Amino acid sequence: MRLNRHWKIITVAFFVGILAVKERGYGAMQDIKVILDDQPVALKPAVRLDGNDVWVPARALSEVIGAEVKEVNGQWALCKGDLCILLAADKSEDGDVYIKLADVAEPLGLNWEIEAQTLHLTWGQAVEAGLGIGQRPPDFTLPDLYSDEPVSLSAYRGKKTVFYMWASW
Amino acid sequence: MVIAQDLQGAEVAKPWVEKAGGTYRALLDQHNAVGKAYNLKYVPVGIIVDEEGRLAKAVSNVNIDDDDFAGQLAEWVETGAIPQEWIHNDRQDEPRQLSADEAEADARFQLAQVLLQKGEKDEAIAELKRAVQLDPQNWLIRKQLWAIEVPEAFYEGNVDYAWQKAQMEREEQELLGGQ
Repeated sequence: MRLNRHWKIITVAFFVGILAVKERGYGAMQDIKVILDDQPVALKPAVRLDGNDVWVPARALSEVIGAEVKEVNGQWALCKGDLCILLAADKSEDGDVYIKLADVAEPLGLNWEIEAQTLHLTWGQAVEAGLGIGQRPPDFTLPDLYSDEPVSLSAYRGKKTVFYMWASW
Repeated sequence: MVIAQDLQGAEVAKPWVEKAGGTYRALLDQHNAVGKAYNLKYVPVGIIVDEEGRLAKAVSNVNIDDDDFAGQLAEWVETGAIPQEWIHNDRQDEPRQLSADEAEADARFQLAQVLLQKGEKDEAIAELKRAVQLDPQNWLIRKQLWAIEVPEAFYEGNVDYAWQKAQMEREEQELLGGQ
């Protein structure tokens, strides 16, 4: 899943999203509370639990995690920096798109669990430090060769970035 | 973005960046900060991170002149899908502490940089030679020494690879005692 996650998730979110809007009409879902990094957050419309699936309102979730919902190629997408995940085009009766949390949490770096009718969200704890795929490499700050301005690896969060190390010798 | 691993500083790195004519940003790692933090002993090396700051490829040698690598990189940038080749060569290495010899080699490397800035080239070369003896597989130090000792093999016309091969053999005998 992780290996080419963006494409897979884009596809999954699109189809499942449409299905959900249809199912929601039958009223089997339950509204639940949300805690982000130990702080309660109010998401409107409410997060809904449907069996084991957690459905979150894309726009409200975006606001609390520093992302945004916008149109990309004529379709709704949830974007954080350069990372955009396409969403179902259908909208709920609340005027918002509901998305399945499992489809977007991993690429956004969100961990989640449901406990006592509450959704617990935490940031990035699953990412371990290291030098292999999926790991977070040590941060560094180096001067620009021309301007001397300090530049950090971590400042490029939200963009795909390639650092190519070379030498004159 | 490119990072120059050059003890001698911006002036030796700039002509190469300008000759390449890239539109990317160029950084300078004069004190081998990245080399040390990532346990790197050679260049070129790629640090390839996604939007969430996670590595898409294990930190290791890359060569942008290699068409296969250039194609894999373009594919990843375009789609976010990690190429099979990168997955196949994944190594979940932890950055590790330097050994005592590696740490001393690094200290002498740093000292050489200061000596070089003060114009004490012979003293800088002596420190670099000791650093090479302590950490002979560290090509960031070893080739840096060569470039300071014999600049004409590096900075005049094409890089002289025949000289490098001969120098490596000389060094194995003289500096490293046939190690």
